[in-house]
Amino acid sequence: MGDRSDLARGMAQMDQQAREQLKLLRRLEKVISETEFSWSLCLVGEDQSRKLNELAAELQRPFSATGDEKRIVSGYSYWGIEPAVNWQRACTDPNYPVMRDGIETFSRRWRSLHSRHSDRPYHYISLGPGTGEKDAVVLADLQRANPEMYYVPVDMSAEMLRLGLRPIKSLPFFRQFRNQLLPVQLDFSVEENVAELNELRGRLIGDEPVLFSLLGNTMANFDEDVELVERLSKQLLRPQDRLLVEVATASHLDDRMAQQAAREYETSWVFREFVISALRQNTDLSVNMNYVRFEGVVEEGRSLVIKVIYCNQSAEDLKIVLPNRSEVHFPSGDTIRLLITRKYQLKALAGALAKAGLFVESEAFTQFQAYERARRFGMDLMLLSSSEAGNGHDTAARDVFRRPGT
Amino acid sequence: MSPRPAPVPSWLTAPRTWIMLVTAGSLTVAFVVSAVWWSRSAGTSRFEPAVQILGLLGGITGIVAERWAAGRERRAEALQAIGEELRDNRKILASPPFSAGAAQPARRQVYPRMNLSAVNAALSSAVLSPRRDEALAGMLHDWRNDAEIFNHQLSLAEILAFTNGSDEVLRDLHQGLHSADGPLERMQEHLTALLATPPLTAALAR
Repeated sequence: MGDRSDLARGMAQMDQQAREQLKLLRRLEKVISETEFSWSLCLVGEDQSRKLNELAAELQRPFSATGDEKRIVSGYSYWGIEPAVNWQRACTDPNYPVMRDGIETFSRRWRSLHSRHSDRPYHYISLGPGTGEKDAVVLADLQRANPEMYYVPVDMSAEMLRLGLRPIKSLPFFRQFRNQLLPVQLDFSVEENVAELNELRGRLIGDEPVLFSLLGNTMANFDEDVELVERLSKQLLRPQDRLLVEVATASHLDDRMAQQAAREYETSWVFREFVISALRQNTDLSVNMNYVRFEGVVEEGRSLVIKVIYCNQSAEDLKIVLPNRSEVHFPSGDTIRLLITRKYQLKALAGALAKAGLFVESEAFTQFQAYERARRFGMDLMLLSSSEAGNGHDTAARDVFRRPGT
Repeated sequence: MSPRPAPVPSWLTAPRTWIMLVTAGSLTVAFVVSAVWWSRSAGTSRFEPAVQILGLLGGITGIVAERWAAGRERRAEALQAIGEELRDNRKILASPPFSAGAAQPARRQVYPRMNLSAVNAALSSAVLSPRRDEALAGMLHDWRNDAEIFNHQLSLAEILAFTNGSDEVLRDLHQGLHSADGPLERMQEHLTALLATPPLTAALAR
């Protein structure tokens, strides 16, 4: 009898707590909707001090003259207010056509792709929303098909999340939509974080279909690019979900194209400011902009790799103090890789994705101005589904190409 | 019970073997007799056995060597035809709708097939050397078997696509064809291994 009354008291307490939390959320919702100030709620899942130590560990690696040891890992390049602001400036720089053309032509690619799949009501989770312009284009179409949809931008940089919301706020339906918006500060390249994101998605959205996106050639910034996409798809993609991936492409893989690709980045001083800003923000290094090198190499049968490297070209051996107060020896000739990006050969990438269990359901391609008649760079937008997509039961079509005897 | 005698090899009982043995034996005996005749005769009567020796030598060379050279030529031609057919097949697998970069086809289609005529002809006419080409013949049998199955799978896929061309069926067919455990990778591995074998590499280099 006593046990039962304790249980009832416990339940009542939990109910009370839930009611108070709900009350707080409703009040917050009301405050946000009643003010013109640009408040936004944000879920923080990132341990910032741990991230700082990870950044420091990458900068404490041994000597390398080729940019293969000390490095600013992807994500940290946009971490903090200075890199975030410089990134936004770089995206509008006329001398940095890669991103500007990519943003300007995105709506054409998206509309061509969306027209073939417009019947599905998706929620939208954007992994690395960038400056937000592309997400605004996607949302404008998705919201029409599913007015109750949630939009969850995910980035490890709180500043990038905030910058990325600006174009969303200019959407005509934003006032009604703001309660369906949930920015999440999280590094999605970490397996455990993606598991947590999956858990959050499950509780927030349930079984309803979700469109994930990795736009703006984001996957190319990771050392293990295809592995990242494979991991994300295995952890997040259910049969009803889709993954939207945008990549930069090259028609040919040779040294001339690699040099040309590196020059695209090299000519923009604003882009140079952006790549160096992570170093400025997180070290006490007195930066010399002329020490930044842009190297283009061919990754055989796969892509052109562009590495942006800071090299200590002075005769002096330097010491760098990191934010965790540790000192790093930075001798003459040593390098720090500031950024890595790629331009993929489309066939090779689709092959690698197929091996990773992802299938290109449809794609839209834009070719950019040619440097030579047949040699071109471009952007490709792919709608991917996992190999499990549509798997409810075995069908004749699925069995046709199975290996005999299996 | 007495042990059963070992079976006689089939080539021993073949009429062709007996004809060849009788012909070669007669020519050899005639050659030996002519040689003895030539050694025992003197003066102008030596011309007759000498002419016979040369004629018999020409006959023996004509039968044995010509056969050897003809077999060699047929083998080289067969290997070249097989090599070219395999290269054509590799091109077919590298182009749509089999290429890795091909997005899901929006419509049903008739697939190109693997060519097998040169391999079939070579295996059925026994132009490959039983000893020298034993490994290659084994690989060609495996390839032929898998290619036949693949061609049959393509026929089934077409029937499915043309009788029920729904988006789901087209997607399932595309995914099955391009999946990691699908047939394309296995076919490509077969072709790469075959084209790297010394007999085919040498035949294609000519």
